[in-house]
Amino acid sequence: MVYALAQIMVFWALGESLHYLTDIPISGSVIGMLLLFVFLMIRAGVSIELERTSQTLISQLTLLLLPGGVGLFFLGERMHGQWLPLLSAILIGSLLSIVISLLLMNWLIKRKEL
Amino acid sequence: MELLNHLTETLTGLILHLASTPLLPVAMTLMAFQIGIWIFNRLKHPAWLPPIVSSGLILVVLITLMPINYQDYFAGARWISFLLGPATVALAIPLFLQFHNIRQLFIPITLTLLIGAPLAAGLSVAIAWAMGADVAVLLSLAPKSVTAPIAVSLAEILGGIGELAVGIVAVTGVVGSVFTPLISRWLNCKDDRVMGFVMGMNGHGIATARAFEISPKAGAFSSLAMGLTGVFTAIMLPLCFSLMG
Repeated sequence: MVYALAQIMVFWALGESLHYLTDIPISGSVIGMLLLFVFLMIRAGVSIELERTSQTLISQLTLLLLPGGVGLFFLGERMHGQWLPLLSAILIGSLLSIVISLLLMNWLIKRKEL
Repeated sequence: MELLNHLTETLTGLILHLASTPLLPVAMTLMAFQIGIWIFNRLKHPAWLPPIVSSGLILVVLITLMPINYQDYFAGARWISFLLGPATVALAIPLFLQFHNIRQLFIPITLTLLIGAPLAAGLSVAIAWAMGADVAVLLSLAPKSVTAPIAVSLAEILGGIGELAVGIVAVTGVVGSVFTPLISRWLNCKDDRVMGFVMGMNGHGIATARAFEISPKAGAFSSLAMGLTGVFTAIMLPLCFSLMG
């Protein structure tokens, strides 16, 4: 657990350093994820310890997001008149994109497997 | 009367004392989360009420009732949010484990991703823009289909509002996990790989959890789509914005 967490933290620190030194507009943690992914591809395997630790972290994502997510309800004035466009955009935009993606991928797979 | 005043004063003092360290904010968050999970299990996993929504609402009520504001709460609860960093890095592992599915269906997956992921972001931003939403709201909406830890950092890098991005991502996840199976049935699409992939692409982690309940294959493709959409959007969105100035 601790060893895997240390590995993850090293990749995060590497990502954060790259973000700071190069001004790449991608956050340090995402760069860290990409670096770890490349590392796993090169090694062609992942240790059980790392797999378990990542599962633990990811299965608790909801908890980790709670403190920030609650802030949504305390935005106050900044959201005046914004809720209607926002919620319609999420609902209509998602439905359209779900329909199009389903049709597209279905068609692509059928074409390939015929 | 005097006794009552004295009591409220003592209680306020106690809460302020407990909230001055991370103790109260962290304990509140853990409890609210546990109650949210309990409600979720009790109602037999309703897709429309994932734990993030119920426990979020419980926390809002607690913070409002207590003599502290959101900033006081967050100052302590930051200890929990800090772990989003390693959790984001850890997303590399499921992506790596699901990656072999790509080889099997390389062209359908790549094309769906290249067209579907920008569509998921672009359509919503266009609708919100047409309806007169502010720039900060549009920037928080752009990463809506991406797993939340990536969405938060994306929103912040683009100049959106991190807290708003979390909320938007949660609502999108609910929409994606409730409607994708319904629409699949309506379009007569019986392929679990397609349904799973579209769920993960439009509803990230919330929809992936749901996809695993439908079938392991749908779950695997959903989690692959979640990883790919996250990586693709995390790279492309900031690049697009920096090119547009």
